[in-house]
Amino acid sequence: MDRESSTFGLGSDRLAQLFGIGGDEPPAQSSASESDKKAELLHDILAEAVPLFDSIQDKPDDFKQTIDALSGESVGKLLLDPETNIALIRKIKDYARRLSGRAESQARRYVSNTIYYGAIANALVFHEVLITKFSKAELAESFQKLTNQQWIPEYLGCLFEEGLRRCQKT
Amino acid sequence: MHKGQQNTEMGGARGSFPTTLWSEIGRSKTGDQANRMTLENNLLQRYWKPVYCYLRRKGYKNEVAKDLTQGFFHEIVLGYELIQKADQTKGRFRTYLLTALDRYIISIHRKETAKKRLPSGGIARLDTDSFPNIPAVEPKRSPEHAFHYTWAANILDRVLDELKDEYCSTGRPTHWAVFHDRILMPIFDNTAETSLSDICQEYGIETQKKAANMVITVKRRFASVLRRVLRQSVQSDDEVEEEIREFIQILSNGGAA
Repeated sequence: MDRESSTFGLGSDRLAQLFGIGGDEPPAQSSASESDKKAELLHDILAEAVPLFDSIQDKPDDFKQTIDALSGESVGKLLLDPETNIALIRKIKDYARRLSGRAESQARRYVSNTIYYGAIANALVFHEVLITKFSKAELAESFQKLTNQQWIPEYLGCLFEEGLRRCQKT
Repeated sequence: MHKGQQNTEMGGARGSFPTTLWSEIGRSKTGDQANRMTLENNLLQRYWKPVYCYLRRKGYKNEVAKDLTQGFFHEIVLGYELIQKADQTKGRFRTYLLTALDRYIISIHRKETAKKRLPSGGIARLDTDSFPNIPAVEPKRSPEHAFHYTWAANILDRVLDELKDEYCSTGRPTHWAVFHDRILMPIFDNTAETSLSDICQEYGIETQKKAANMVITVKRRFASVLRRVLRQSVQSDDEVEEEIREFIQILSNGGAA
């Protein structure tokens, strides 16, 4: 069976039981594999909004444009949206680079780099703009590696595949 | 709960700036149309159902409760009276909303019927076909309980949907299936939990220990996602823990917060 129905309609005690799952003490040692950790971490960052203050540099001209574009959208949604403003895509790339630079674990570094390349792929696929100094051959190699990672969600994998195709065309 | 992890790798990105309801409210006060629309959509998504269920439990007939819900959102919430006065130092938004709703009902009674106050045709954004039926399982609960119950069910649905999507979209559907059969199904169907040996057989898992680890992994993830979702409507990580404790208490005892 599958959980197709809503929790709405269950008895209050059952909802309390579900909340209880979240309140349980977890094991001190996480049993999650490295791959699981990366998948979870990536999912969390993609679900969050682009940090407002982190992304606004000391460029007054850019300020209003960035504020308008942010509007609380998640990183994941912005990366997959063809309409996302290219200035904001650059901000996401910069943000990911900063995350990577201050990463305290390898998993976090991998995940930050994935978002970094996600921004580059968005610019390439939806805006036909190269926002990096990497050559297309170098990018193709990176996109290829990323498409093979199981911990990357399918929708982001599709973006990398399309990015790969664009790099290979030229 | 693994509080340390919550603030680092597993529970949300350190150094990032997750969107919370209060930050959305703050941004909407600047008058920017995009920010305002984001806030309106989120408020409707999160709160219209609890408001409607609260009114039904107060004894209002279905059509009146619908009208009052629409009127409340149209005039008070989206009309910005509520937002402009919202102050995060004065407590939780959920409680603030409920107080405003009570005041609205009193004002409506003063001015006789709800219908006289409503704009002709109501407002389009509430899908009136999707108004829920009040759960029949708990007819004696208070209106406040109905409000909190509905809000809690919304939160849990979001968490479970997100969790399922996450595991299925990252090539780990078996993790989700094991968690579902072992943890969720007994709660949803009120049945005994499925044995690990049956689960191993069903999904071709080599050992029971491996299946048990899968359950722990998804439970831990459930806890993490629940906290992230709850964090969007409170001011601090500590309040998230309070919310969880409070909801378990409200839902277990049937009392009103």
